[in-house]
Amino acid sequence: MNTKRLRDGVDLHIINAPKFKTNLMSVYFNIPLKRETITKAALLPSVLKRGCAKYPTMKDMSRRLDDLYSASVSAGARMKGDGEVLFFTAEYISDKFIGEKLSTQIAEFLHDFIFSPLTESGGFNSEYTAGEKNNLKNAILGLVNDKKAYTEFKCREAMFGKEGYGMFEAGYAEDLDDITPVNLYEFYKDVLTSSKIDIFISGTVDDETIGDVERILGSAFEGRDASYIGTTVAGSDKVEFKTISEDADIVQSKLCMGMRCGVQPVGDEFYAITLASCIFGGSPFSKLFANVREKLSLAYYAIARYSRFKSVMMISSGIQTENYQAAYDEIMLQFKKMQTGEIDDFEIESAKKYLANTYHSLSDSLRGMEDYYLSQCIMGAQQSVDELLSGILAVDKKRIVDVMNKVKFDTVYFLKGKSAGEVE
Amino acid sequence: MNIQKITNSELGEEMQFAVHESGFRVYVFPKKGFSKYYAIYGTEYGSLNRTFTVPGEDKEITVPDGIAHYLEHKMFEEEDGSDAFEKFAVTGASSNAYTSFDITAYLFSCTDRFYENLDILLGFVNHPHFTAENVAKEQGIIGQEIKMYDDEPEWCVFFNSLKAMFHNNPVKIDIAGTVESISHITPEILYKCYNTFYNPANMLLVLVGDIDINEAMKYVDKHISADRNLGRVKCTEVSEPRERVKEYIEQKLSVSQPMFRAAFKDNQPYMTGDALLKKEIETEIILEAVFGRSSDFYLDLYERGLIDSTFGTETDIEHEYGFSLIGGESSNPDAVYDEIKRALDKCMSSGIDKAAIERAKKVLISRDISLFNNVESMGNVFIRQLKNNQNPLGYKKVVEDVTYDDIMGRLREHFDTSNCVLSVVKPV
Repeated sequence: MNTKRLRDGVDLHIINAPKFKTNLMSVYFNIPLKRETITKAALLPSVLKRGCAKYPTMKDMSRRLDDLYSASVSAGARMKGDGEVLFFTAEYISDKFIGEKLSTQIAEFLHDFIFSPLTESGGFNSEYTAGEKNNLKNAILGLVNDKKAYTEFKCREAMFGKEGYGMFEAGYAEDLDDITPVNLYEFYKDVLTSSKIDIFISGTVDDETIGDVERILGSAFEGRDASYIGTTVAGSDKVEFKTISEDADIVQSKLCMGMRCGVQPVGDEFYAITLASCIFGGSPFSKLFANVREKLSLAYYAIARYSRFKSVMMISSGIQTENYQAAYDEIMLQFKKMQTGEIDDFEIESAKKYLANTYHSLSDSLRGMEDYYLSQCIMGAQQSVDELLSGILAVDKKRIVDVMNKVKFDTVYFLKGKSAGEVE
Repeated sequence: MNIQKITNSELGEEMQFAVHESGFRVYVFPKKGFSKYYAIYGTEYGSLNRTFTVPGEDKEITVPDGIAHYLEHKMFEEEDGSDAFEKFAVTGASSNAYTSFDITAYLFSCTDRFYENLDILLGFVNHPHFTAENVAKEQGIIGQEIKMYDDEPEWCVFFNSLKAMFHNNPVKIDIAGTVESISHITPEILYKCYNTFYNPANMLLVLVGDIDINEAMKYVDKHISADRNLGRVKCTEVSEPRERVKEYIEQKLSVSQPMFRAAFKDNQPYMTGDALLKKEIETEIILEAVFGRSSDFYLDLYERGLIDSTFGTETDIEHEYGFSLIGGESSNPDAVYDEIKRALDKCMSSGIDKAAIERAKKVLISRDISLFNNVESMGNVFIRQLKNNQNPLGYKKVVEDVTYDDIMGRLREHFDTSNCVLSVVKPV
C-alpha cells in the first residue's frame, strides 16, 4: 500500500492489485465514539443513501449505479476501539473489462453523494430523516432476533457500561426522538470538516486513476487539524468477576464470557495473545473445540475471539440449559491449562500455521486488505502483513503463558433458555 | 488421461477437466497471482436422498431424516481415533464441510502445501470409519446444531415456507433432521448411504488456484480405484402436485418485528444443463426487474415504510426442486404480500418494462464477473453448476440469449399468484 497525503488530515491510500475483476473506492471518516453521537452516526449513512441533490430518490441513485455496470455502494458506521468510522464504499467492475473510465464516474458519484446531500431549510430532507429514524429503530430493536449476537453484545455492555466501547453500534432507540433533520445535518457538516479522512482506491489502479480520484474526490476535502481516535486497552489489573443470567424464550441457551487482557495493539504481547487465543478457541483443533464440542459433546460451537483494538477476549457457545455448569467448568479447565502451560508443541505449531494461512489469505480480498490497512493507520502501526506474521511465528510457550496470566475474566453472560422438560 | 480445456478470453479465465476411469469428475480453475488455493470435493447426495436402492440389493430403503448431514460429521473421524481436522492442523489449511438439499461437500483452503492437503482431503473422504461409539457421540453435538436453528427466525421463516409449498418433495424436511430422527442412526445405515452415494461416479472435485491438473490427478489415482465405479446414482422422482399445501403459515418466536417470505414453487422439476440454467436466469431477471433495488416496487413500498433494507429476493432452482422467495421484515407482512401479488399480476397483464429487464441482465452479468474475485466463491458456485452439467464460463452468453418472450413465459408459469405462499414469523 502507498499513502499520499493530500492535505492536512486527508490521506489517499492506494492498493494496486490487478488480479481482481473489480475495484473498490472508499471514503472513511474517523469520529469519536460518544453516547451523544452514536445514534446520529448510525442514522446518517442511511439518510444519505436515500438521495442526494443530483439523484434525489433511491431510484435515481440505483439507476445511476446500474448504468455504471451495476456498481454497488455501501455506507455505514463501524466501531474501531474507542472510535468509529463512517464509511462510504463503491465496488465496481474494473475499467479493463468495460473499456471506459468507470473510476472517474464512480469518483464523481461518491463526490455527489458525500458533498451534495439533499437538503431543505438548513437540514436534511425531513421525510427521509423520519423514514430512516423508523428503520433504525427497527434495526436497533432487531438485535434480539439474533440470540448469539445479542448475548455477545450484552456481555460487552456489562463489561464496559453504556458509554464508549460498551455501546451498541446501531445506537439507542430512546435517542432517536431528539434527532431532527437540522441537528443531523449540523452533525454531518461537523464530520465533513473536522474528522480525519482516509480515501482508499484498490484494485487495478494506474496513475491516471489516482489523478482522477485526487482531483474529483480528494480535492473536495479541506485541510484540517485532525487525527485518529486512540483507544485505551481494557486493563486487567482490577477486575470484579460477575455473572449475569437472563431468561429467554428459546430452546438453546447462549453462553458468553468476556475477558480483559490489558495488551497493547502493537508489540510483542499482541503477537503472543493472537497465538494464544487461536490455541484456546480459534480453530477446529483448539482446546475449546476439542473438549467442549468433540470430547464432551456439549455444544455445536465453542469459540474464543480476540479484539485487537480494545484487548478483549470473548468466548461464545450455544448449550443445553442443564449443561451450563458442565460447559462452564470445562471452559475454566481449558483456560487454566493455557495459564499453566499445559500446551503441547503440536498445538503451538498448528496455530502458527493456521494463522499464517489466515494472514496470507488477506491479499486475496480487497475489502480485507482495506480494513487491515485502515486499522493499522488508526492504531499507528506500520506493519505489513508479513511483518505481523513473523512476529506471531516467533512466539514461544513461555510468552503464551505469560500473556494468558494477564487475562482476567470480567463477565459471564448467560441467556437462559427453556429446560429440556419444557421443550415441546 | 484426457485433459480438456475451455477458455473465456473476455474474462481471462480457463477451466481444465478430466474424467477419471472411476467415473470421478475433476475440474481445475487456474488462478495465477492468488495466494489461496481452494478445493471442494462433493457428492451428489443431500437431505433429499432419503429413499433409494443400495447397489447390489433389490429392495428400496428409506433412511432416517438428517442422515446425509450426520454422515458428513462422521466422515472426519479416523480409524486411529483422531480426526481429519488434526491432519489439516499439520499443514495449516482451513477445512470444513456442509450438507445441503442435494450436495454434501468437503473443502479446504490454504496458502501453502496444496497437494499435501489434497492428499488429506481425498484420503479421509474415501476412508469411512463408523462405530457405535463414535456415532453415539455425535448425537449431542448435532442435537445442539438443530436447536440452534430452531431459535433462528430467518431459518424458521424460510423452512416454514417450504412446508407450506410442498406436499411430497423431501426439500420440505429439515436438512439436519430432528433430535428424534437422528436417534435411529446406526453405523450400518451410515455405511449403506456411504456405499451408495460416495461412489466416485457420483462425486466431483473442483480445484481453484495456481494448480497443475496432472499433479492433482496423481492423488486421485492414489485414493480412488476404478472398480468402485457404480455409476451416477439416479434420484427417485417424486410426484408433487402443482398446488400449494396451504397459503399461509405462521410461527411465533422471540423477535422484534414480523419476518415474512412470499414463496413460489417451481413446477418444472428434473431439468438439467443449460435449460435448467436458463430457467434460473429467467427467474432471477424477473425478481431483479420487478423487485430489485432499482424497481418501482421497492421504491414505492420503502417510501411508504412497508419494507426496509432487509427486503430482498432469492431463487433456488435445482434438478430436484425449485422455489423463489421474496421477503424481509415488515410491520405488515399481509400488506406487502398483497402488493407483491398485485405487482406480478400487473406484469402478467401489461408486460415487464423492457429497460428494467436490460438493467437486470447487466446486474447478473456483473455479479458473474465479480465471482471470479474469490477462489472460495468460485468453487462453491461452480460445483453446483458442474453437478448440473453447466459450463461455469458460459454464464454471460446464457443471460444474453434470454428473450423477452422467454421471461414472460417464465413469469406466467412460475409466479402464479393463485398458488403462492406467505410464511410469517411473528413476535411472541
